Amino acid sequence: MTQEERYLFDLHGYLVLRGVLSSDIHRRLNETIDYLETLNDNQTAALGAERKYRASDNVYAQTGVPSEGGLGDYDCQVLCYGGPFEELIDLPQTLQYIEEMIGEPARLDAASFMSRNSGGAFRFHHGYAELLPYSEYAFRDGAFKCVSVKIGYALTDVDVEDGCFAVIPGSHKSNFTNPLVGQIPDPTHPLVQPLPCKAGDAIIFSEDLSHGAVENHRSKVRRTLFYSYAPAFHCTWHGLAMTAEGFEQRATPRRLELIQGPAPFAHASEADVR
Amino acid sequence: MKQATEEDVFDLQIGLGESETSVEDKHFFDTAGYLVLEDLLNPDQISQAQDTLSRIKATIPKNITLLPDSPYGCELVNIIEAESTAEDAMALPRVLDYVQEFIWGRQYRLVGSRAILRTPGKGSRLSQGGDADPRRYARYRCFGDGQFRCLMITCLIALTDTTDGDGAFCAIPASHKASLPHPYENTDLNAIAPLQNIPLRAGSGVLFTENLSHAFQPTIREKDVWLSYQYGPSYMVNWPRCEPSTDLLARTAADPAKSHLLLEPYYHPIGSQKKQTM
Repeated sequence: MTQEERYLFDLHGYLVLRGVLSSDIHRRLNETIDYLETLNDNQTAALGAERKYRASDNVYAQTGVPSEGGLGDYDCQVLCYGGPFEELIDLPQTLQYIEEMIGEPARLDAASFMSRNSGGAFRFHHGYAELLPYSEYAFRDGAFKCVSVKIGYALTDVDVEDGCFAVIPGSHKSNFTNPLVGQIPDPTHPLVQPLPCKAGDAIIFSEDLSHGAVENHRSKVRRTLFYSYAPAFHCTWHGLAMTAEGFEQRATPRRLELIQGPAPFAHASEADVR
Repeated sequence: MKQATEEDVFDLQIGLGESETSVEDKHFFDTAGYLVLEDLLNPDQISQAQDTLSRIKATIPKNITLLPDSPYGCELVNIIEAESTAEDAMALPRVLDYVQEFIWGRQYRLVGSRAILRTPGKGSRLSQGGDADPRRYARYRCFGDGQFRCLMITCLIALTDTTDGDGAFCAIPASHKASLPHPYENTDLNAIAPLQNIPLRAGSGVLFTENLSHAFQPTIREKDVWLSYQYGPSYMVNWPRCEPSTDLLARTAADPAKSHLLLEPYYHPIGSQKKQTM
């Protein structure tokens, strides 16, 4: 991280990294999703990429309306499928940020794909999240010590009108409950920062930051991959870090360590915890 | 109109504010970093636990690991597998009420357990504690409105009497909030002015944040036995060699307190995030 990136991440709680996905990996990721979307739900589930559709009463999401014949808003596990999704586990362009932001041996605790249709949006959550201890932003002794850092990889161009990711910059340090929690982000609100992206861009953010997605007013489907990292003493999210058959054999050592987790209690000897 | 909070909308946390911990105890724990809990075990339980430990030390059952060369003498890791008192003591209602208050409502779990069988002359070094402690999983956290979100806290139960001059657990009160590293790395424990001995009668315990600078004074007695249970937030993984066995999970399944402690790690409890939006 550059000094300016450190300053801005501490100041705002997020960074936008432009063009971190090469055109090759970006193309292969989209082709894989295109292929999976030609299959029915049972077929994708059998391949490990079960689609979980957003229910209309979901507390986080305002569900969008698919085009005729299109799929509804859904999430799916990606590492259980494997393929090019495995390459993002230890993508050097982003992993270096994760390592510095977490500041101790880390693991990947979740990876998922999100597809959002016209009308879809995601309500603001978090901010003042030190009370949610698994998402705390921290900087001490001259170093970041965050406990949950996520990367959103844009697989499609997403402008404000397309329902882009939105944050409240600085909310990772708020001392008060967030009055915008549970609301669809209003891009005109003075506290709200929509973050339009080009396909291949990435947004790295502390889970402590209040974040969501503005409403998609266009017909284009928004495709995003989310990869989440945490200190090794954290567990994984509901199987979202489960991998496909043969992963252990084909993974690089670093990739394997990020999935299996390094020794969870760093700096401890057997004598340290009594 | 009351301002809505994250919990009002998303139900991400359960059991907050439901413990019966007194204001005095909260204040003491926040200020000193520990609480002494008298008479956690009765004489029968103490005797039974001592017998069990003597027996299994001779023949180590599966799922329990003997560490014969620990700084204290020897340790038996994952001692809850020993059944009876060693198992029951992980879920003492008095202790769990504090755990619920100090960690994160109902979102807590047992991370590890062990028995410590010390031999004469065995003490321990002073742990770092405070801001300088590199163990992130040990962090002490309490916010201005009195809400605790501690990471690992430990309940240490004496199975033999300890006295001021013989093998007492000791700590530097308030060191969980120290901003600077302690300057006692190579100092004899008896020469550390702020270190306080916390003598305990057999059956009594001390509950402390792992972020507190603490140690054991060397013991003189031949028999010096402790049970130690580490608790953490629901998402903290098990301490190495502390995975509960299927036998243990089966025999505790009908016990709400024990089975809750032995749940697999999780971020959000089952059934959360179901609230209606505003």
